[in-house]
Amino acid sequence: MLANIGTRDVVRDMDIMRSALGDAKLTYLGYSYGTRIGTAYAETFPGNVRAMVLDGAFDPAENQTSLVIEQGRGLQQAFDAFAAWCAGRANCFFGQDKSQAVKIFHDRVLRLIDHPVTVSDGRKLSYTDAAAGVIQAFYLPDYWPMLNQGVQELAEDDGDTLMHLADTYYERSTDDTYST
Amino acid sequence: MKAKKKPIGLPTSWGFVIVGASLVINGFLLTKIPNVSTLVDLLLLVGFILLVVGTVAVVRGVRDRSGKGHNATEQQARGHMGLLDRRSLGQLIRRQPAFTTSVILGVIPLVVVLVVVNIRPFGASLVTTISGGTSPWNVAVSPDGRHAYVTNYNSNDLSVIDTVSNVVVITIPVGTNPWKVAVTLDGGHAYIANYGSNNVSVIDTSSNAVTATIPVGDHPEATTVTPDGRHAYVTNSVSNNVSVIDTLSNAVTGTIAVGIGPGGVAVAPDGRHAYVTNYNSDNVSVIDVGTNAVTATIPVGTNPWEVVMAPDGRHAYVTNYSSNSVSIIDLGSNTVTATIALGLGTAPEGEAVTPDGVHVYVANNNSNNVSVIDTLSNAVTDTIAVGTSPGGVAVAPDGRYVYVPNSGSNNVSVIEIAAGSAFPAGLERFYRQNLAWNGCIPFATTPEDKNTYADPGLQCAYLEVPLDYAHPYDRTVKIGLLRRPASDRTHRIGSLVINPGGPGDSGMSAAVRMVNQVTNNDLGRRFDLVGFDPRGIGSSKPRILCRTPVEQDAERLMNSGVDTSPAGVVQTENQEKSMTIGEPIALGLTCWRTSAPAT
Repeated sequence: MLANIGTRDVVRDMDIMRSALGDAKLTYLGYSYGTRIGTAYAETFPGNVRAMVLDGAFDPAENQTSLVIEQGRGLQQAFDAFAAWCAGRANCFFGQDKSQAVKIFHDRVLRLIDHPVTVSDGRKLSYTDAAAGVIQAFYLPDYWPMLNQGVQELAEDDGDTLMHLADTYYERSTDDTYST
Repeated sequence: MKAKKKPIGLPTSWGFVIVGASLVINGFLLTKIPNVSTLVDLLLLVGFILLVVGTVAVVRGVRDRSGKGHNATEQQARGHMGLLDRRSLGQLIRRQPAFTTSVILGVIPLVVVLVVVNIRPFGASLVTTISGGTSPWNVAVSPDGRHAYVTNYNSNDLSVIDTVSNVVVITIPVGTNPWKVAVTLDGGHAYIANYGSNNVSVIDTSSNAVTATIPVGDHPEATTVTPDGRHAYVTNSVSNNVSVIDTLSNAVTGTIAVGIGPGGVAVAPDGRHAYVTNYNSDNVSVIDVGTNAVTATIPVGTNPWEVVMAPDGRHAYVTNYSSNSVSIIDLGSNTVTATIALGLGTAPEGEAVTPDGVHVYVANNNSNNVSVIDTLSNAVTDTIAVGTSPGGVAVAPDGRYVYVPNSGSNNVSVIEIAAGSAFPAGLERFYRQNLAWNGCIPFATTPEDKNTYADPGLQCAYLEVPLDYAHPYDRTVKIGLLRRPASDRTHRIGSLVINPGGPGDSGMSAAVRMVNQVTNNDLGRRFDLVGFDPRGIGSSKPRILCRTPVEQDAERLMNSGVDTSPAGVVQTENQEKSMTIGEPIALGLTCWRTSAPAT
């Protein structure tokens, strides 16, 4: 089974799905790694694409190292957009001065590497969790208020909101299980 | 002026040429359809005569027209149809009814024949006929597709056909009136029921020699071998029972009483049950292969002749000789779920299923043709003319060729199934599957999904795909789909398929989260929003789980890769490098341990 789990198989599944759904051509919206599925589908079935939107696109030509660098660049852009939005709010975690955003953010989250915060259910919010929660919030502006609240909470050694965002990112369910 | 026999007018001469040419072309086109040879010969003969007479008359008419001794009226009457005449077509048609009639007579049949010959729904076409023994009745193809074995009922032998050259390479004498033939799954042996000598001939296919002749019951009709090759089942049509042969000792180890006049026999792909058609009691006996007991009797049509299995083991197809139909048996419930009338086909005998399970071919003994059944729509989609009195049919393992022995014309028709399918090879049944949309709650794998999937505006279904695209007839995987249908059905464009990434995220959950974003805009009005759980993920079956929740929680606490100092980067790199060998293997073993097997 594991030998048959991969992007190449998934795009062939998608072409069967397109046909079973009754569509002559595929209309597709992919996020993140989902954009790689989109490009792989278009490579495999170039004549079967109606329209595609690839958001947070994964460049299939990049190597692993440049992928990480590009992803970092993208996340920095998202952070800047979030900070600009935050600066206009009364309760922003860094106040109104955007130039302080990165510094205050780093102070709060880097501390977690050596001092994880215990959350309500007894688990510990690690630096990795906080980073995952932040990335989750960068997918949709709808999450930005939660992210602001989460970073605020860190000042009072409270990690519940960021842990909730991290659990969403990792697809950890309320019954303590993971989807994958 | 001396009286002269009136020559054929030029318009009529041209008519002869047109009708003659049409008949000749029709004749050649019709050679693509078998079983009309007399008609073809007649068409060709008449066509050639008309063509020659017409051409001679035209040449003479043109020569006459060049002017010796004919009066102007005569010239006008027949002269203007010469080779270089520039008069308008409309004028010709008005003034020369003979010409018009001949055009109609010539062109209309040509068009009709062109349509009949070329616009066949399947594009299936007869590639050749192979002559062999006398009264060839039944056929089986070896699993490697290299040979076809044809029983010759009246010459008491078996023709072995090389399927590449389509010639009979050897003829092997067997018992009296050999009827149906079965080849073992490993291709090593063929079993032939000899109707007239009450025994079974066993042939070693590597040496093409008869290695055993096994006495069985009265008038044996058919044989089949279990998938493991250990047993052969033989229907004895007069003694109303089935002989069980141990293929190692070639001895009959059991006899099972069934209905009246047992004829066809087949074993399900899982090897657990054998199915026997009882010609005179209009039903099918189900035999438990483990206990050799009849566990069910299924009523079918009148005079059931043969039974074959769908490759997925879910259905059996039974030809009903006297009701001109095929009964479809659901093997889960042992009931007939559909009966397909064969229309142009009468007296159906042998039948065969394509390897992808999408089509069933039925040899119709009285109507001299083969019916093609589409098992996805349960409809007859084509009827292909073959030779006289076809009795059996077999499909090559690659699904491209169909072999039909014609007992009346002493030959075997080879039909090629057109390769130009609209779907990738072997995947038609997946591409054409019908999705059964139902409520989504059974698809939820987390408490959150149980809540959100309960929305009555959502529909879910399983999509079936091959586990391994290199072997699409093997195991399959089920992919969970969730959709929120377009609210404006009349202006619906299609499906908007989404995937949230990961890899490993549930696209169904992601689609549910997006519903609010499309409800009040054109996306939601004009597209079905569709999310899917990729293979191995979420509701898909089988589901891959590589780590326990405790292991995953622990991994999040490790803060791996956070040290961005040069020393830290080196350490992370070393960790990553070591992972490329050992850990994926360990992870793979864990995945294998915690995941459900494929179906």
